[in-house]
Amino acid sequence: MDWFPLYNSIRIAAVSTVLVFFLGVFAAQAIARAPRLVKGVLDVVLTLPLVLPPTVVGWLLLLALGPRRPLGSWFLEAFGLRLAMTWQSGVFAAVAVSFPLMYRTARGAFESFDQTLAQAGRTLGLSNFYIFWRVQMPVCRQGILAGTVLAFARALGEYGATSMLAGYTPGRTATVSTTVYQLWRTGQDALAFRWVLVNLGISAAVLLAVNLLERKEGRSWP
Amino acid sequence: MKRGWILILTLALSLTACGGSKNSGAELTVFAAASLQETLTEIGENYQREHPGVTLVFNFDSSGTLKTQIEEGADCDIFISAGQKQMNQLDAAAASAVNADAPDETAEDSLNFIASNTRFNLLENKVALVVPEGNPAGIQNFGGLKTALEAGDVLLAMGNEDVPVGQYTQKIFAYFGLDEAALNAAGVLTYGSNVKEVTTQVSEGTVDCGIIYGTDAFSAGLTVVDTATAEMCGQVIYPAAALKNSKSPEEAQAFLDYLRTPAAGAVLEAVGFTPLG
Amino acid sequence: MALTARIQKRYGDFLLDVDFTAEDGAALALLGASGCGKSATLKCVAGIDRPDRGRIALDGRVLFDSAAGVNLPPQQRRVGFLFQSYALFPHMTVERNVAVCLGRMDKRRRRERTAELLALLHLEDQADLYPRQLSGGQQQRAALARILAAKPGVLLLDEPFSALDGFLKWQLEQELREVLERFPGPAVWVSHDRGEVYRNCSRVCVLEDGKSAPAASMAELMANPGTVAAARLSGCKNFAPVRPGPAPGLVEVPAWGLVLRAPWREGAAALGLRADRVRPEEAGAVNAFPCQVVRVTEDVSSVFAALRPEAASPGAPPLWMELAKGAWAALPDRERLWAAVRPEDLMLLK
Repeated sequence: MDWFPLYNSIRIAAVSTVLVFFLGVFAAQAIARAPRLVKGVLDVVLTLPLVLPPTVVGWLLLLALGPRRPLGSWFLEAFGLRLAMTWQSGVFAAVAVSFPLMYRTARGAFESFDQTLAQAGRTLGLSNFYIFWRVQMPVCRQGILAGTVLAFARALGEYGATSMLAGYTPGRTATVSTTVYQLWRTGQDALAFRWVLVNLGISAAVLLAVNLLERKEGRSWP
Repeated sequence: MKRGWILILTLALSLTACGGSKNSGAELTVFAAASLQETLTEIGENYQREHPGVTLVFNFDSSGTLKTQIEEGADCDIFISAGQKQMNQLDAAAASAVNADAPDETAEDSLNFIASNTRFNLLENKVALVVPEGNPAGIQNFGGLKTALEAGDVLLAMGNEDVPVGQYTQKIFAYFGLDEAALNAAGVLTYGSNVKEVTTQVSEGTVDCGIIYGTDAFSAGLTVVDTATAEMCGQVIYPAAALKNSKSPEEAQAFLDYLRTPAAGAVLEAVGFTPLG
Repeated sequence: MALTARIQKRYGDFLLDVDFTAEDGAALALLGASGCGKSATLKCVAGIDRPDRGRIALDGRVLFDSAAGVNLPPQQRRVGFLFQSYALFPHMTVERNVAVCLGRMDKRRRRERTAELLALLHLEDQADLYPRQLSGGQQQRAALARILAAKPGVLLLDEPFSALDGFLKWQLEQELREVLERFPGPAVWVSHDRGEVYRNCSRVCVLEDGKSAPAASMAELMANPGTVAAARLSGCKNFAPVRPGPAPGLVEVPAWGLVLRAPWREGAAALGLRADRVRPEEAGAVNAFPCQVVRVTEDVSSVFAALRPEAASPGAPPLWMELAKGAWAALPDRERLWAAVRPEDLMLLK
């Protein structure tokens, strides 16, 4: 069995989750403090990838990152980097579809964060940076962790946008999801099912790890 | 509060009731290959205008998916496939006489869904080699594609073997003596989930070329640099047939007959299909 | 040095307009009913909220000045704010909470200083516990220790005992008073409880509907509240509109149908009478009037009698009299009696 799809899926999901974590958390914090109208509009825009069919999301990404489009052509000229049809394109796709999950979960967690803790921190002389990372984030740990897990799971299972943006090139851009689809479509059900089990195995391992993390009482944020 | 809920429930129920009520007349469900969406929708509108008692409901998807849906018991009156293979798999009477190119699947796989006496070849399509605007990789024809693939210089987008156009592509590979596994190992192929993906990737230029139907190329406005001959991949025939357990066999036959008229033929020709008798 | 604050801020329909000074080593009380702007004032002083206009200075440093465009963030104000909920960080132990502002020290020095503060607030045994494992009193002490660790220039106490009652409250008051005594700077104590304020603060500033009255000592407030609001806050229960009497040296209270001897005060609109200054008297004594006893309410150590002066108009509020239990029991007639108030006990209020 060619294990490339597993390796590829994990690296894409891992990179994407790290990016989405920071993007989601920053966006949630920034937008929580925005005026109501701005907040409403941004909420809709940033949640859009969740509502759109993933293939459409992939197509929209292509309109931005394709070699004929402003961003894509600039990257090509400036760095000689192709943004589509590479495994990194899978990261773009995964980030686009999993970002809303992280963002909304983090926003929910932050909205229910007791602001007097932050106010107390400020009067004690703690910097806003310290308060955000060492008080707000640990206190909101449950929500942030939930959002991260959701984002990772979504990234791992991402198919439609990845297929459009990164294509299915065995050994180069194939992920577990696109591989399962192609195997199933060409009648190799047994092999496809084996990959499904692999996917389940990874998800189970991640969820188990997260549960163990949560069980540790009073662990402060690294 | 309680009144509000009763109101909402009543509205919901009446809406579903609305959906169900129909004036006397048949409803035909047509499962058709995705590449026929544009043309069949137009033909359907024309037909319904001339036959007000009939309502046409279309389900467009890849032939493989439609075949699976029918196998799983979907309610369907007419099936139009983009390849003989999928039709054969549903036709108990499928034999080499009926279909021009019987692919690997034998009649063992087939189940008894198609009313074999209604089956006929509806039209012919062409397999086309398309490139992005400006043809960055300079592919001129299938021969040139072969060279480029062997050199590892290009990225070709194609359908997988579950879709008819993917099977035709495989035939073209075989014709040119290309080993698909070797091409995969070299990373020069990318398989799309559907035609839309392939056409988008070609028009955005993320791949150097693609192999799709001539009609898809026309609809997507892509530049065709070469068309496959019957030698390379055989004829691309779309068969059509009525389903055995159709609830409106007469109306189904009437529509199938209409598809063979010049009026329908004109619509098909306009996008590049070749209507057959 | 002191804390001076002049703050104006509009919250929708509500206008906050305060002006006070808290001196070093003394606690200034902000006394007011709920919702009158006390906490809002503290938040402006701390920099958590921003006034529309005004000036706040501590120890000569300007923290906020709308005219000069100065607005220091809370981090730079050195204000020690004790929140009503204490705001301890729930994911840190007591020790970590206290040490959190000592980041700049080296590890050893930090440990020592933390131990000092914990000992000062009697929290040595609770050092490794989490806030949720502490009692209310312990939480407050932990919060104080954390505040003191940050070396504030002023202490702002936002209703420190609103969540507590009874003996615990009494004990904690003592402890807080101890802490305050050792604290060199000024303190602002927000409360709606006059007893608490009387016991712990030297001066009091009454807040009514967002507007602050000039600060006075507690004794002055009790003797001379000046306004109905202040009188109410100081515990007075009897109020009725008042106007000058038929002759100089007399005032008239139409609602109770009384004409009493008392010096008039310019601008007075209401009369305030403390329940414990209403005394049973012989008929004919100064300011004596006959009343009917309408209702009797027994308190822990005294009796409250609702009196209705015989000349009172229908619908007039009752006149409350507070008497020690023994004195009440000793009255010959507990249904109809003569009551009187000394002229100096009559408060003419704006």
